[in-house]
Amino acid sequence: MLDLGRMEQRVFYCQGPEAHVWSDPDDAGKCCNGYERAVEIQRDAQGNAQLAYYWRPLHSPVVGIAGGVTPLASRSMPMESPGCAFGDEPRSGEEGLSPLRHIAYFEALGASETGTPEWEATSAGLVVLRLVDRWVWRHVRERAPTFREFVTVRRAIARVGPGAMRAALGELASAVAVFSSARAAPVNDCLMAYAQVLQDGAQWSLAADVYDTVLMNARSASDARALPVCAVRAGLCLRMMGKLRDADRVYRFGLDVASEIGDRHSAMLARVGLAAVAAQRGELPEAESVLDQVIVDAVGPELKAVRAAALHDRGGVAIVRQEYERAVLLLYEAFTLYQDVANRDRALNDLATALGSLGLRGAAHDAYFVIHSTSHQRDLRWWAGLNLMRLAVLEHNESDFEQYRLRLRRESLTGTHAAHYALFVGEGHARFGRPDRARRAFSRAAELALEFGLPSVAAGAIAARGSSEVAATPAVARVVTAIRALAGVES
Amino acid sequence: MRLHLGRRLRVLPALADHVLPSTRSIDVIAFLPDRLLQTLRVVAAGRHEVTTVATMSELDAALRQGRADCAVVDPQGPGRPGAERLGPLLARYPGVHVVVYTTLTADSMHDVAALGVRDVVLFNCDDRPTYFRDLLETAPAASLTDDVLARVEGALTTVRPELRRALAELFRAPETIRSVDAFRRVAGMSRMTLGRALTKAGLTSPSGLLRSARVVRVYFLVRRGGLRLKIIAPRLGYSSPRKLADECKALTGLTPMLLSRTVDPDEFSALIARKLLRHPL
Repeated sequence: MLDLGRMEQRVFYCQGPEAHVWSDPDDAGKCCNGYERAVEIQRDAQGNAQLAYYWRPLHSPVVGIAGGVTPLASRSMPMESPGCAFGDEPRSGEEGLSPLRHIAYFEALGASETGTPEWEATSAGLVVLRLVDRWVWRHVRERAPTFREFVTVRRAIARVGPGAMRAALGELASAVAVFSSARAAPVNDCLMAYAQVLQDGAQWSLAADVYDTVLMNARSASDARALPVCAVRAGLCLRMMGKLRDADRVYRFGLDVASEIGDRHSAMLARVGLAAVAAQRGELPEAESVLDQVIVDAVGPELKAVRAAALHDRGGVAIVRQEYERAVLLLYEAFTLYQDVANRDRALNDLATALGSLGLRGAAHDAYFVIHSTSHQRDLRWWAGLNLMRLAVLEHNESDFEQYRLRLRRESLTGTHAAHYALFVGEGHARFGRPDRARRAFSRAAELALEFGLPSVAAGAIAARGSSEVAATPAVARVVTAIRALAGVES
Repeated sequence: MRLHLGRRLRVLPALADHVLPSTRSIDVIAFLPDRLLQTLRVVAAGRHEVTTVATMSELDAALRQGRADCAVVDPQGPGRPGAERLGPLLARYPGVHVVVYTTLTADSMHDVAALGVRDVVLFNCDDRPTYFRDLLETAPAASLTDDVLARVEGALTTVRPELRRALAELFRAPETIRSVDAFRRVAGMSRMTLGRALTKAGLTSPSGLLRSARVVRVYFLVRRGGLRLKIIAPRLGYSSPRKLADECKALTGLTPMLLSRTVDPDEFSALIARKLLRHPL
């Protein structure tokens, strides 16, 4: 009896369905009761990173360590999916506008090493964009680009490795060359194609810069028709960069122009984008109402992609609400409706996250495996690889863990990816009995989390949580069967 | 016959512009490595004055004299000061327009991004003499437009960043934004939102802004460059030199010729700033 009395003094249960255990009654009172656990990284007197936990009211935007908004999908989710529509990790707060055009390129080049394939591709992109700028001015300055300038650009493009990037840059330069003295040219179309390649490569800031160039250069009526599409794509890139205010602004611009020219498809996509921004800010009820309305309105084969996008983002909101079963069904419907591979991959990635969160690790593994093996979007492949590595840790599968760890180590992971990599590697080393290496990896994860403003990564530094497989409901079981079939065919 | 004479009298001030001297020389301070300096000398040859400096202290001394219109610098130039050392020095002389002329390397790109200057020329890429010369010759105009915008800074701080950028773009390159529609696209707003945003900030209408930006450029080109109106008019999107002169007179009360001869840049900036504000202080 005495022991029990002492236990009751030290341990408290929250009022939620899972009755979480707390040592502090205040914590137990707030857990599952309108608050959520959050973490900040602080420095002690010696400059060492330390995690500080606190409670914040549910559904409010959270200012992270660098002033960004905490990505919603990362909250209390066993598996991270920052590459998805709800998963981007913000960098520092909204930045001011620089007078220097294409500053994203200068920053990217300044941060990379001269002579690497990435350097060659980015520098060629900058050279081509500056050529386009001069081409836009040709009638004002009464000087079209010269042969020498084209030669310089061609040489820069020739140094880019073969592939979609080189092809897109080559076509852009050719458009400028062929139409150098013409009044109109398909340069904006080529810029859009180039931006899409950058977007596929997860080079969000560069893609946003190119979309901005398209918006700046649009002068003719035919250009105006492409503006809403451009705005919607730019909005996605800005969301991925965590620049929610800019994303909101560009979506509203796209909505305005689409309404003006009667482009219903783009107008609805812009509304979906605005809802996604609202969701990322934590305004879930507003996001839900807009997305539900779009799902209702988007009827007919011509609006299939819009309906898929709305379902996709609605699934993202369901994940944030921890309504995983609902999320699985919404995301699977989005997955089946999407016609383009890129969006199908993103929906599948989010679906895997929802399945994993539901405890169906086998199905989640299959979906991630399909993305990791087949997706042409680099950031998605990375996220899938990271999540597979995490699953291997949770499943105590050391050989798989080592395989994905080594494979990812060879990639040039960017800030957010690198932070998650360090975190998951730390968890793996801890799980497989290598405490020193785990400590180093966690320390690295904390450093990167501090640098890139990723409180969720810091929160994930807690030891990996594991739970056994759960039984799926019949509706979810059908999705699981479909995913397993997909993996069987495509893997 | 009387009508014919009257027309001749009205256009006389505009046509008289051609008696002004051709493009005035620009005083350029060059802080560059030898290889880049050679190109700059070719660009400036016979037209502009280039003062070469080899150290940071010489650069400081040359800028302090206050004669330079423009400084062409390479952060990876003599002594490799980088943006860290060059930035604070250049910030002490806001009246001097800075052009970064550098090579395409990681270090220099890092410096360019850190300095955040508007005009960058890359060696062996876009340093074609005609383009570079254009850039140098419009550098003093950048100082004039910066002065105009600085006078309405109070109003500009209240507008959204993209509108602020569009306004800066409009005044620095009025040739590229020739209509209200083009302006609202650069600002990323619908026509109605743009109008509301400007009214809220106490700024004049979009068309009023366009007119002011063009007149600022006309004033600069006539006063500094001595260019004829028939050359300027098509560049700025006017259908004829007379339209240009009429717009200038409607805005300032003076023809371009009289304006450039009788109004100094300070007074002109103040005049335009008053026109930009809906409710001048």
